[in-house]
Amino acid sequence: MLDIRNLHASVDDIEILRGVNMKVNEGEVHAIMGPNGSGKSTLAQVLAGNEAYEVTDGGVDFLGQDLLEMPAEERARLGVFMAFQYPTEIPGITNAYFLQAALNEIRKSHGLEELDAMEFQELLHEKMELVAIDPGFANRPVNQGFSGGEKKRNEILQMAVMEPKLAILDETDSGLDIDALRIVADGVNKLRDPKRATILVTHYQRILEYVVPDYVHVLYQGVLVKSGGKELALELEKKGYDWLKNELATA
Amino acid sequence: MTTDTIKATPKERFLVELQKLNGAPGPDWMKRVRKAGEESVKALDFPHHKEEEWRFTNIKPILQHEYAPAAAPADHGLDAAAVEPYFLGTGVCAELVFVNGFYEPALSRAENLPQGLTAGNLANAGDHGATLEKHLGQHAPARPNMFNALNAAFLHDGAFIYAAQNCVAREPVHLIFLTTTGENGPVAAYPRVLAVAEANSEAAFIEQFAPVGQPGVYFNSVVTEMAAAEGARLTHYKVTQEADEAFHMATIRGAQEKDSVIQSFSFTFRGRIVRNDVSSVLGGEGGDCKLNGLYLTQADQLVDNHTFIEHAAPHCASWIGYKGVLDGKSHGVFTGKILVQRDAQKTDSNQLNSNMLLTDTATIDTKPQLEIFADDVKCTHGSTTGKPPEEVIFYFRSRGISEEMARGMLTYGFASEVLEDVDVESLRSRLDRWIFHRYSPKKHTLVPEKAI
Ligand SMILES: Nc1ncnc2c1ncn2[C@@H]1O[C@H](COP(=O)(O)OP(=O)(O)OP(=O)(O)O)[C@@H](O)[C@H]1O
Ligand SMILES: [Mg+2]
Repeated sequence: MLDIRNLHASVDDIEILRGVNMKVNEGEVHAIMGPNGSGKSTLAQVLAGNEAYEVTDGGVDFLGQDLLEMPAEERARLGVFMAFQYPTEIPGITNAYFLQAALNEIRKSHGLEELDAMEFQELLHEKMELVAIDPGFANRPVNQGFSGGEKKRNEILQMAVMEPKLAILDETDSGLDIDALRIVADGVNKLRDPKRATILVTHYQRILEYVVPDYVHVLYQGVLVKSGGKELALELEKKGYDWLKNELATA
Repeated sequence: MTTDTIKATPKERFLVELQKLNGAPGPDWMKRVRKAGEESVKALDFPHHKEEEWRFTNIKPILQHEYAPAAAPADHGLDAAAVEPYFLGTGVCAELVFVNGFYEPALSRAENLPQGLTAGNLANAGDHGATLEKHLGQHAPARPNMFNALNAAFLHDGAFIYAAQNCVAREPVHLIFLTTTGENGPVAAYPRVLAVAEANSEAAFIEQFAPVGQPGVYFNSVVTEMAAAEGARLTHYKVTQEADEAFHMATIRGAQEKDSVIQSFSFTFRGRIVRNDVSSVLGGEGGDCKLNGLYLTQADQLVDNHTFIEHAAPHCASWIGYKGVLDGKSHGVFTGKILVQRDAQKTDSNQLNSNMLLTDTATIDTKPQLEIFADDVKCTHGSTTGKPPEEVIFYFRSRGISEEMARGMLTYGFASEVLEDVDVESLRSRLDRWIFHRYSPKKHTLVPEKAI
């Protein structure tokens, strides 16, 4: 489904991703861990199409298409969804209006009828219930004045409405209370089917207890330095990154 | 070949038109106002952009034309069906239609006025002689503003709204001012509004300006006076949607006694040059004045909102909040002037002017102007001008929404925030639809734009 080959990316001429290779198949859940500043969010942003990051080398295929050639909105319409580590506040635009526009753009691109306000309202309430968000949030400006955890939940609501093929969750589990963590995990699990895939960027092994990953990768200084099964997360939790750094130094 | 031998100055041209009206009929109180106006026109000059208050606003294009004053009700041929689209229908207690400043009773509706509320035309307000005497021309006198002088000099008709003591009239009176784009050259109309709320009463009104007939030039010179007695509450909405070639100069002036509240909303959507001089004097303790506005400009429009609140008494609060969206080569001007007199201790005054520039050729000149002579006051001001940050645009795009659509949605969101405090649902939703229509790239999902 997703094939990342030798991906290099930089910001302001500083190289951050220095050759990432990764394959994600349909139905899989991949976790990406790694110390602060190692490039996890950069990878997520590059995949989502943020032009603030310049791809200097390598390639990415998604569902057989050249992902890097596509503008961000087309990637979203094709089924790529990134939950932001720091969701943006949008003054003046309600969650409902935003999500209706987003969903309809996606539906249009698939040749489907747009949902009218009534139909969308119904769908939104259903999804809000699913991710346990108070219906009042529908009419609040997107993320404005939301608490950290509320913003994260809101990302999950968006994911639930848009039903992406590939979800990239950038530390969506950080800053969540235990209930919310379960909800996020449930949300991911509900979308888990043989046709979809998830990349979970996380610092904590906790969420991986709810969403059991098929693979765990460690990103360090812009390269995936280690990959393994779910036990790798446990090992990292126990030993910290120094263990890995030492191992790399001696290698 | 021309028969014009000597080129008259604009002022001379207005005076010539005034001479023609000499001896026009009218009650004594009206003649008095006219006379004061005429004397002022003679004594004053048109404002020049070298004057601080007119620094960014060049009125020359207005004075290039020769206007025939609307001296009598126009032979406009409008029927009920033609004015129907302007009616709000619900949430208002009366809808009064004026054409070129003259009241059109046959086209108006005023059957459901609440007890204690008078709403009608000025020319027939003679029963309220003492009120007219006390207020008309007193709050917005003919001097020193030349446009006020013109309005007074050419006074014929207008709207009169009067809330008797303790009367509570929450539903506004809707005043619809239509101006014809004359076949015989541009028309100048001089509508006048007087709204008086006696002690502990409550009243509201909407002034709406729109053209009828073919597109073309005309000139509207409007003066609105609002008086709020002790404990009274007056709410004012102004919707300016003039012809794209038309000129509109308006003075809106409030006078507030103890514990009174005046709230004014000014929505400027269309018109070649529009200026709103909106001001109020807080003359008694505990008064509250809120001036809100939204201007959406495009093409080569010039919109100047000059707001001014005078704190003349202690313990009063004021707020000025204006927002602008500027497109094309348009030019916006905003002034937020606050004067705090020496005795006006405990004044609490805040203002914010926010602008969104949609093009590199649109410009805004914004300036707060604080003159504070009391020492125990809280006065804040701020202004922002910009475009939506790239990260916000990216957030939309990452959800499948194109940049163009994102910008439209953001502009709509920015502008429509001003509507949150508009209590009249029929007006609010119409303005909302209008703003949405202007900025949303998804026009097809909407009801076609109605006249507003
Ligand atoms: N827009 C930017 N401008 C400048 N530097 C940037 C920018 N974005 C990222 N960086 C730098 O790139 C490096 C990688 O950042 P990134 O956000 O990808 O790390 P991360 O692995 O997600 O870290 P964390 O675990 O703290 O979220 C950091 O050193 C960061 O400072
Ligand atoms: Mg990060």
